[in-house]
Amino acid sequence: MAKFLQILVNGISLGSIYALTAIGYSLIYSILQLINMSNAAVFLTSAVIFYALYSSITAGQVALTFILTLIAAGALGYIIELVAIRPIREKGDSNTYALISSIGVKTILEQICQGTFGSEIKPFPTLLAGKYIDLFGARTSAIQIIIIVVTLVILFVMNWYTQHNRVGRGLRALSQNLNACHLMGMPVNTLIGVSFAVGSILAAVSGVAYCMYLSSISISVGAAIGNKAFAATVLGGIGVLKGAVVGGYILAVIESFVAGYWSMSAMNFVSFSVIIIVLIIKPTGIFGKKEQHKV
Amino acid sequence: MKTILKKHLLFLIIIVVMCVAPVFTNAYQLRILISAALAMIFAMSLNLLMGIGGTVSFGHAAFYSIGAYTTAVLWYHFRTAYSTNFIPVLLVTGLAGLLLSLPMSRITGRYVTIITLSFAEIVNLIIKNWDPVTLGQMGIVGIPSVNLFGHVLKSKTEFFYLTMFFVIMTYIIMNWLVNSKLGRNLRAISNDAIAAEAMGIKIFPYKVIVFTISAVFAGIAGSLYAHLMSYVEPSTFNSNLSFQCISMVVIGGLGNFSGTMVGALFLTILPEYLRRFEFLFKYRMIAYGLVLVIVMWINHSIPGTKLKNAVTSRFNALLHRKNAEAQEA
Amino acid sequence: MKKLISLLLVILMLITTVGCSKPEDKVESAADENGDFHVAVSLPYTGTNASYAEYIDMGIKVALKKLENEGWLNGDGTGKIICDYYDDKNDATEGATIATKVTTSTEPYYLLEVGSFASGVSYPCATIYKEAEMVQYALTCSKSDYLETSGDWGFSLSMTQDTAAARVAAYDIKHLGFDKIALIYSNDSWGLETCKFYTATAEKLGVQLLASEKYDDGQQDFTSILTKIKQTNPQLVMCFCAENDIVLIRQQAETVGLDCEWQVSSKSRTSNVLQNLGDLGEGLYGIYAKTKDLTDPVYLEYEALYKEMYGAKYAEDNNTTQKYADQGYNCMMTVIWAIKETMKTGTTRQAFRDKLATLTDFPGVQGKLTFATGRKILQVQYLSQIVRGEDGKLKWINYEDLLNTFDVDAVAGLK
Repeated sequence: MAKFLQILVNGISLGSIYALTAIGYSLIYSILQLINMSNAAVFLTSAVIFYALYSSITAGQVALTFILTLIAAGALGYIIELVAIRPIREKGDSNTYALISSIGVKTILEQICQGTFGSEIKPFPTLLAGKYIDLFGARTSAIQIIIIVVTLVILFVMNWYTQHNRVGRGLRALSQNLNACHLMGMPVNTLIGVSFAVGSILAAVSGVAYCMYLSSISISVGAAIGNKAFAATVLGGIGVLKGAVVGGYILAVIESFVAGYWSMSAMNFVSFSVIIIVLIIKPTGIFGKKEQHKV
Repeated sequence: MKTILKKHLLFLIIIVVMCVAPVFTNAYQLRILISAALAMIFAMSLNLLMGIGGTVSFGHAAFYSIGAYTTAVLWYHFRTAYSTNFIPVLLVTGLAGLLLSLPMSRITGRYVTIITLSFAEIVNLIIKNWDPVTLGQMGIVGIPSVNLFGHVLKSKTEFFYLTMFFVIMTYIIMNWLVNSKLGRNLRAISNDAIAAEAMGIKIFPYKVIVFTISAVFAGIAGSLYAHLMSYVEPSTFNSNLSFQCISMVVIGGLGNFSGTMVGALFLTILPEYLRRFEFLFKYRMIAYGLVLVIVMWINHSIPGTKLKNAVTSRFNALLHRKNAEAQEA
Repeated sequence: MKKLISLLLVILMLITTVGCSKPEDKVESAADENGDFHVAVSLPYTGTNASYAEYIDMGIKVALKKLENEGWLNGDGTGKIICDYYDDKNDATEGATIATKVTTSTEPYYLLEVGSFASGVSYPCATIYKEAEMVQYALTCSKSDYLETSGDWGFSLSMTQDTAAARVAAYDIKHLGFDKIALIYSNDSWGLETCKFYTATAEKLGVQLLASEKYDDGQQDFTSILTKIKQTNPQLVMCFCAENDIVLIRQQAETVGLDCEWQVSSKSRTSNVLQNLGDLGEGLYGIYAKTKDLTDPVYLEYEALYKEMYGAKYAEDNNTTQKYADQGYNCMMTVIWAIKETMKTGTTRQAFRDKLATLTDFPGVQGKLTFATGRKILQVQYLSQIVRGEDGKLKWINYEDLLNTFDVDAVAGLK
C-alpha cells in the first residue's frame, strides 16, 4: 500500500511538471497550428538562467531570482516569436517551415546552454529541504506538495485569465478564429508574441520546479522532459489546454507505475506505446477537437 | 537526351566530382566523402517522405538504425556476408516502414509528427534493451568489411564506390517514382488531401507505399554505415540524427533530390571544417541550428525572400552584362 | 545557379579541410622539421563526461608546462610536444572520424593519440589505431578485453573491471559484512561490465543481490528505482555510476525515505561528489586506486604547478587536485618519458610503442606505475569512506592498513 501511494505521489508531482510545459505547446498550437519545438529548450534555458542569477547577483533570494527568471523567460519567448517565427508566418507558406525554424532555435538554445553551463551537475536551491509528510508510509516531500499546489493555482489563474482578462480573452479569440481577429482590428502580432511569452513563462516555472525537485541542475534536464511534455500534449489533444494538463498527469502517472512495478527501461517504452495506441483510437487525442479543413 | 542532361545537371556534376575525388584525397577526406554519400541516401529517402509524401517525420533515424542493426545482428549471430544480409535489410526496414504507416490512415497533420517521434523512441528502446539479440548498450563490435558474394571490399575506396552506386540508384529511382503516376498521386495527396480523395485517389495505400520505400532506402544507408564504422550502438541513433536529416532535406528544398545531395554534402563537411576554429570548439553544433533558422528565413519570410531576390537579380544582371560584353568583344 | 555555387563552396571546404597529400610513414622519427612532436588528444569536451575530459585536459597541460619549464625535450627550448585537442562528444562515430583524421594526417604527423575517456568510445576506435600502427593511449579505458582487441597498440592506466568490480564485491561482502545488497548501475558499456563482474563475485561469495537496476544515460529521476529498492530493505546500495548521478541518487533517496549504507566505485569517488553531497555524503563508501602520498616529491612537484595553473579550482576543491587530472598528468609524463628514451635512436611510432610497453616502476603521482604482461596495469585499490575529520569537515579517507589483514584479491578469487 505504501509503495502504491508513494508511486502515485511521484507520478502526480512529475505530472505537474509535464502539465506546465505541455500547456505552452498547446497554447501556441491552438492559435497557430504550430508545434513550437523550442519550448523544451526554454525549459532548460530558464533553469540555467535561474542558476546563473542565484549563484551571482541574487544569491540567497529565491523569490527575487524566480521573478527575474520568469521575466527573462517571457522576454525570450517573445523574441523567439519575433525573430524566428513571425517572418515566416507572415509570408503565409505552410507552417512546416515555422516548425523547422523552431527546431533550429531549439538546437541553438541547447548548444548555448551546453557551452556556457557545461556538463557537470550543480546543486540547485530548493524549498523546505528535508521536510516531508508521511501518509500511510508514503513519503511526500514538501517540494512535491508545493509543485502540485503551484500547478493547480496556475491552472486556475490561466482559466480565469482566458475568461476574464482582456489579453487572455484576446488569446482565446485568436485560438478560435485567427482571421476574424485580424478583421476585428486586434493587434494579432503582439498577441501572438504574448502567447509565446506566456508559454515560455510556464515552461520556466516547470523548469525551475523540476530542478528544485531534484535539488540539482544539469544539461540533460531539458531533453527528456521536452519530448515527454510534447507527447503529453498530443495525448490530451493538442490545442486544448485542459487536454495538455490531463495528458501530462496521465502520462506521468503511467510512467511512475511502470517504473515502480516493472522497470525503468520499460517506462519509456510503455509511455510511447500508449501515445501511439491512444492516437490510433482517437487521432485527435483525448480532448482534441477534429480539425475542420476548409476545402 | 539534352533535356535530361539539363534537368539533372547538378546531379551529374556532383557524381562526377565525387567519383573522381578519391584520386586526390587522403583517408580522412575519403571518410568524410563516404559519410556524405551515406547522408545523401538517408536524406533523399526522407525527402521522398517529406517533400513528396508531405509527412514531416521526426523519427527517420529509426529506419537508419534498423538497417544498421539488421546487418550487424545477422553478422554477429550467423557470420553472414553483406550480400546475404542485403535482402533481410530491405525486408526488415520495409516491414518497419509499413508498420509505421498503419496508424497514419486516421491521423493527419501535426499528429503524424508525434507518432513518428514515438515510433523512433520505441525502436531505439527495443534496440537498447533487447540484449540477447542486439547486445543492448554494449553495441556490436568488429563488423567486417563488406563481403559481396565472396569478394571482400578491403579498401575504403572500393567501399566508397559501392556507396556511390547506391547514391546513383537512389537518385534514379526517386526521380522515376516522383514522375510516375505514383508520384503524381502522392503530390496531389500532400497538396490537398480532400481534393485528391474527391478525385478518387485512395489515400491510405499511397501512405503505406511512400513510408515503406522511404524506410527501405534509409535502411540501405544504415546497413552501409554499420560496415563503415564496424561498430553499432544504440545511442548513435537518436533524435538529433533525425533532426540533422531534416536539416539536410530542408536546405536542398523539399522535393528536390539533387538539392538534398548538396545539403547532405554541406552539412557533413561543415562540422569537419569548423573543427579548425578553436574558439568555436564548444559551439560547433550551433551551426546546424543556425542553418535551419537562416535557410527558413531566407526562403520563407517576406524580408528574406526580398533579400534573396535582390541578390539573385543583381547576380543575374552581372552575368548578362558579362555575356553582353563577351559578345561585343 | 544557386545550387552550383553551393556545390563549389562545398568542394572548396573539402579541399581546405586537410592537406591534399597521401600519408607516408615517417621512417626515422616522428618529429617534424623543427624537431617537435605532435600528439592528438581526443576527449569528450562536450556531452556526457565533459567534466572528466576537463580534468584530464588539465592534467595533461600541467605535464606539458613542467616540460616547458625544463626547456622542453632538449633542455634548450627546442623539441616541443605540441598537442592538438579534439572533441569526440563522447560519441563513437565522432571518435572514429577523429581517429581516421589523426592516423592519416601528415601535417601534422602524430606520434600517438591520447583518449578517449569512455570505454564505449575508445574501444571501437581501437581497430583504426591498430591498423594504422599508432598508439592509442586510452588512459581510462577499463573494458576487460580492450588490451587484447587493440593488438599491441592500446594502452590504459585503468584497471579492468574483471579485477576492479570483483574487488569491490569482496570488500563489501567479506570485510564490511553486508549480505543484503542492491545494485544501481548505468546502462552503458562500463556499467554493464561492472554489474556483470560484481554480481558474479557476489554469487561466488554466497550473496544474491536483492535488486539490480540499470538507468539510462541522462536520466535524472531515480525515485522509481529507489522506491523499488526500498521495498527490498537492503543494507547497502552499490552504485556504479558517474559522479553526477550519485549526487542525485543520494538526494532522492532521502526524499523517498530509503535508509541504508551507500557505496560508489572509483569513478565517483571524487572531490566533486564530496562537495555536492555535503552532509548527506557522510559515511559514503568508495574505492580508491592507489593513494596520493602527500609527502611524495613527485606529487608535491605536480601539486605546486597545478596550484599555479589552476589556483581557483584547487581552492574550490578543498586544496586537492582532481583525481582524473592526476591520471592525465601521469599519462603525459609516461609519454614524455618514452619519447625521451627513444630520441637517440629515433622516435618512430613503433619505437615509441615498444618503449612505452616496458614501463616499470614509473614514478606517477599516485604511486608507481608498471605495465605487466599484456600491458595490464596493476594497481592497489583501497576501501575508502567519507568521514568527518577532527576539524568537523567531511573528507575522503582510505583504509590502507586494511590490506595488511584483508587479502582482497584472494577473497575475490583473483589470485
